[in-house]
Amino acid sequence: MSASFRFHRPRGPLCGRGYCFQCELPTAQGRELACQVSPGAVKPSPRRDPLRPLGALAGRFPPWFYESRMLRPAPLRGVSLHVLRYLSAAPPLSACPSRSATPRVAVTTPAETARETAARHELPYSEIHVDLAVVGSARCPPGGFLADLAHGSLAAGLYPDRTLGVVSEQGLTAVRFEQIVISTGSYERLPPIAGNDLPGVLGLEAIEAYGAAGALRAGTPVAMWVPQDQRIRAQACAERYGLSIVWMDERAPDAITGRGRVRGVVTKARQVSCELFVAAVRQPAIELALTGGATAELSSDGLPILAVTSTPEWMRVVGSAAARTSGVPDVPAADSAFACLCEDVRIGDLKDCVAQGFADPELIKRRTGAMTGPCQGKLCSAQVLTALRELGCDSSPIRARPLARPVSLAELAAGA
Amino acid sequence: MRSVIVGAGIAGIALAVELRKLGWEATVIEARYPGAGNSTRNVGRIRRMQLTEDLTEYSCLASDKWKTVARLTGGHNPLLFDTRYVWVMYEQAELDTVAAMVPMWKSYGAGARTVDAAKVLKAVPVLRGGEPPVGGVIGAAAIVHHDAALYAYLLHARKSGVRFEISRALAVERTAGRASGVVLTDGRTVSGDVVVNAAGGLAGQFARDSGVSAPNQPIRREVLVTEPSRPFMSAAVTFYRPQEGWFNQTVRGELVAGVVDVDEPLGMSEESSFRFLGRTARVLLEKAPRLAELKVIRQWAGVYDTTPDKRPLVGEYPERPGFFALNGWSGRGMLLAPLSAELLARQLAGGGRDRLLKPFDPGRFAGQEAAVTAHSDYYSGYAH
Repeated sequence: MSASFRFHRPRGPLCGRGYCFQCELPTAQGRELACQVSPGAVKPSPRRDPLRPLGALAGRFPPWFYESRMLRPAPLRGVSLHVLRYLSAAPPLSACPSRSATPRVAVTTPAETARETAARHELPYSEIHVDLAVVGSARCPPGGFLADLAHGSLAAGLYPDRTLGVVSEQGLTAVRFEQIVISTGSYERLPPIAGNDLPGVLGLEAIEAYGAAGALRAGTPVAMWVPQDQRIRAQACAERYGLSIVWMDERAPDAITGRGRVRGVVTKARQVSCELFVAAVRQPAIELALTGGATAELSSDGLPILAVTSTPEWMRVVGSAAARTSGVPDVPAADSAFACLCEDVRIGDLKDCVAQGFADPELIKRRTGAMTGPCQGKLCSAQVLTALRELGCDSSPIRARPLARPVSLAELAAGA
Repeated sequence: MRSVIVGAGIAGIALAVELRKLGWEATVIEARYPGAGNSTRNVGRIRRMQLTEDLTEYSCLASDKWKTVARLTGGHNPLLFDTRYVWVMYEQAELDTVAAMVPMWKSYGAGARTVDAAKVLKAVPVLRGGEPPVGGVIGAAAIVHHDAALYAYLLHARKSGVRFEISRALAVERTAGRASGVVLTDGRTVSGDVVVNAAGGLAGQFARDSGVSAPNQPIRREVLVTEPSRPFMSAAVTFYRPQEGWFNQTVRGELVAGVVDVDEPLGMSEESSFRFLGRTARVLLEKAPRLAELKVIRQWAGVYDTTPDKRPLVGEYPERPGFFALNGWSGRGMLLAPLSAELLARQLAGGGRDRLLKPFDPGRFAGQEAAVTAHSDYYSGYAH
């Protein structure tokens, strides 16, 4: 498994779809998402990391730890920054995943949703549908829209001048359009509770992918945090792969416990042992819509998610990307819970940051690094903004920028 | 005395800090959030060598000023990272142009010298395997973490009693021909004895809205940023052939890079473009193919507030007494702002105008047909 950059925390797979590329594993072919490789991948074994103790020490300091440190002795200021660079757990350049193993986005069945919506609204469109719901294989049938281009291609960014930037084997294609239907699906919404960073916290879709890959051990005890409308799906998944559900609720537990991996969940009533914590609560994938000029705000009903509130007239957001509520009750955020997993920012750090006068999402982003890591805020935006709203600050999303997902320089330079 | 400063970027806040030290009151007006413009849309390069004598002298002193920012701001760390600037050249003519400047650079302590291709590759190993350079210039430089630097100034400004007004400035208010405050879009007026235009990319527009002629025009510059990786380079790399481009690795390990569009139009735009991605990736990988597997996670854009001679405007607008310029950085805002703020603060407080500011007089274009050119080649922009 990989380690978080600052704390050298072991990081397990979470979404299983490459949103943050933290769950990539070396394989014979290069590097692949953990959910696509060998059985046992869900039982993370942190690699030996000599800097882990230093990372643990870093955990005692806020993200702006440098602010009044490393200044003395003056002649060593520059040196200490050089040293700091080498303390990051980021991977070396040479170990970056090879191009051939880069997971591709495939167009899949929600295309139907987009097509139906387009038909219902009688849009005079040249239509692009790119779905981010399934990553990592080209086994899904082409969606039928600009078929050659869309198959196995990635909508990297939507630009306000009505350009859709598409990255595919053919290189870069700027697709101009009259109307666009965005059906990008959704990804996991982490519970803002203690222990939400432990390897073994997984999304429901990730569990399904692991199951399909034969990576789940029958009889594994799982705790499941699911909204009412996902219960049947979650139960079916557990049944199919022989998982033993030891706890299931739409209310998040008070904490997830464990050291280095999930060992159990704690609720007011009891403590339950488990090896996996499955979150079936979804955050709509709205970054493509936002970069195109849509606006979003936190939902006010239950556990907040970021939901699209308005779109330019040429854009429609459909399917689960257009969800307005999480469908689960709100849960008080724990100070020790992680808001941003990429940059190791905890809820308590956000509160301290606001107390120091950095009470704006854009300032929080720059001061803590939250929402600037490889996932670009997909896993953390809703939680960071929720914390801000609870403190009475502006909680509008930070400025959205492409890309919708990481793309290698090689892919960007290809073609043309 | 009371000052009203338009723009809470590095220039505006640094000026407020310097003025407070001299006993002045300072109110900073900001439309969005501190640093919302180019103070957070830059890569913090602090370069000593420049193509002309006046800019080299000023840049060397400005670089030295940066070393004092930690003390100036009461012990806040701006994360100033000492490194080298590597200017990679792919044509003999480039090398010949700059070779003549080495003695000038030496006389001001720019610490820059021309080197052969082997030395360039040694300084920046990721260039190996790419288009072979003919040589280059290696100079002393630093990279400052722009957010850390801005917040060092911001925290100290708050502590030292600088007032911040989050509202949009409309124009300068005048009384008997003299600047007497700033009118806000919400109808209020912030009064002061002097008004300083530190509005970054919007500075030219704000001056013109205030009835003063100003030559500065914003021009967009785009950047991409990759996921972090372990340190593989520390130098700040720039090249100008086939077109202007640059890259370096940040303290956090991300690669930041940009290749300029030679046809980039003038105008205020902070939007990213799709064309930029392909252009930058292609040119970058021609030079440094080892970067191929780095994944781009984000692109962003800011503007250079550009003047016709690529020099800043620091001083009083001749058409409006009491209205001062602290803008027109032409891509050197992070480098020049702290020193310029100090010198302007001293001038405002009656300490006289420093000789260093002579080339940066805001009235120097009066009566001239000077216009900002968007399409000029980097070297020709500095030809005399």
